Amino acid sequence: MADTPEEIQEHLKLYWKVGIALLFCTVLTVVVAWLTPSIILGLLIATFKAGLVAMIFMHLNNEKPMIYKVLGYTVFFAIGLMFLTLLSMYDPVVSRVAN
Amino acid sequence: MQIPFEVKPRPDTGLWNAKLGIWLFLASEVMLFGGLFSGYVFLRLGAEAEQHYFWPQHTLSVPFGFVNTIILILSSVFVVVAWLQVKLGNFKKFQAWMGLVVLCAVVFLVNKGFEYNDKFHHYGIKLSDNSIVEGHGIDDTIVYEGITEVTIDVQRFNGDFLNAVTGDNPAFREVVGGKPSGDSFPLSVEKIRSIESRINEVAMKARRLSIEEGKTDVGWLPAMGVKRLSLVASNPFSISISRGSLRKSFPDGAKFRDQSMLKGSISDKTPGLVLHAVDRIDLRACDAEKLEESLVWKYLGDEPPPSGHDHSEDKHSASNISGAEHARRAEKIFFSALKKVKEEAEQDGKEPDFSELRNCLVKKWKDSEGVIHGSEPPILVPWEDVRLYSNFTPKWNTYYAIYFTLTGLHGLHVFLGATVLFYFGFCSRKFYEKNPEHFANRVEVGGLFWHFVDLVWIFLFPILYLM
Repeated sequence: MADTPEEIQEHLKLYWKVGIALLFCTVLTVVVAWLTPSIILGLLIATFKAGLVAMIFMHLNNEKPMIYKVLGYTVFFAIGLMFLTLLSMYDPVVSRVAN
Repeated sequence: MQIPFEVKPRPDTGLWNAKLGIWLFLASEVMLFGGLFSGYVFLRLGAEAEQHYFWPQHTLSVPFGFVNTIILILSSVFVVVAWLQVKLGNFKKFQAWMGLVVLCAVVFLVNKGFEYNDKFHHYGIKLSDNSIVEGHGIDDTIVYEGITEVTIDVQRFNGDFLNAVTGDNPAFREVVGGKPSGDSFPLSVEKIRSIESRINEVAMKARRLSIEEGKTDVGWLPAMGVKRLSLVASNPFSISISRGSLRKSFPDGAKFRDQSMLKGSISDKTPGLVLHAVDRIDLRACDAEKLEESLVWKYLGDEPPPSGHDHSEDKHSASNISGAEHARRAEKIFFSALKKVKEEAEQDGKEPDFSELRNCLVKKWKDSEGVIHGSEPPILVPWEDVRLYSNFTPKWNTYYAIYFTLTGLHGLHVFLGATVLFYFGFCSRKFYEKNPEHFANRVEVGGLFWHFVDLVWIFLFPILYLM
């Protein structure tokens, strides 16, 4: 991370720019939702915004390998969680009752 | 004792301790919210698979959610700016920016409070044909009259039904062997306890006698005590109560939460459930070919009987036109739009798509000429046609269950994060003066948590408010 005053000033400018980009994306999210009921598009914009916050504000664009390792496992299991509910479709109890 | 690696990184991880700690904590937070988001996906997909259950859409105020998103994004910028001010050695500026962060958190939570309050005062009624009406100003007062028979659960009796009696509390007599017995008495919790002791005393004596005679060798157990008591009132009496506070209501009686059961008939003065200002009609779960026959049109415009409670302060629309006139306007709004969809589909040679229309706001509707019509009619639904009614809480549907869980947990994070940042901003001057670099690391950790809170909201806003 920046430590000289000049570098800090540079980062300060970057943070404001990212802030403005996030505000713009928020407006875009509302406009897109108004124009089209697309869930995917809304989530893509949200993911882009989340990426900006994580990469720039949380400094994940320039971190130590240990943090990436921790987050790698987290992302893997968090994605697994999203698909866990699919198991309900193959629930043997429900299937038996339905049949 | 000096704790190592508070400022300088550990050689093996390359990180100072608090940094590794906060990232491990945030990893656990990702799993916590991930589980809830997964629950959201499950409930939403499940709702779409269900024939008579529709996921509520666009029921939250988008401007409220939008403003809160802007506030959280700004606070995220402010928190990194504040951290950089510590790095630059400007403590006063750091405090100013941190003050703005805390202010943003307060505004966010106040906004959320308004939104919750609105949901607590917004009601829905599901009718027996699966049609739904939503609106404000509910009156679920129900009056039972001609009550003489009362059965109470001796252990649980708390006397609640006595508070609902209209007029003087009646005197009661015990019913033994199907007939009234003993003197009449005013009912109270203490009286029930004394009757319980008396009956149990007799039973205990009988049990002792049985043991002495060798008929049994099992002694008296508390579970053998009297459980239910039947009482009869000396004069028929009436109760007036909110139906929602009853455990169960029947056409011929009411069951209270303490299991007291009163036999009586529903008064003509309270024939049904009243919603004073209907603002949305949802016919998505009704048969598409028989929308005109929905029970909604049958009951819309029916005013509450004059003896009903006055809920006019809950009304959103103050109007001098009658309920019937309002109902006609609402019907016109609904069916003109229906006709328009059919005509457009015919012109295009396609199947009409009623999906948006059947979930229709009647308080505001723009016709083909661009004229805005509106109406908030009252509705009186007879009790036998009320399948479910509730304010917009988890009882109403699973959308509100996951909405309150997600936003409530997120709100708690906002509160706790803001508390920590307030502490850094306004109670840590000595810490900063002692070791500015260590203090900057602490602020960075607090800031990372705050960004995570913002990140969660970035996903919550579109999925709860827009989709």
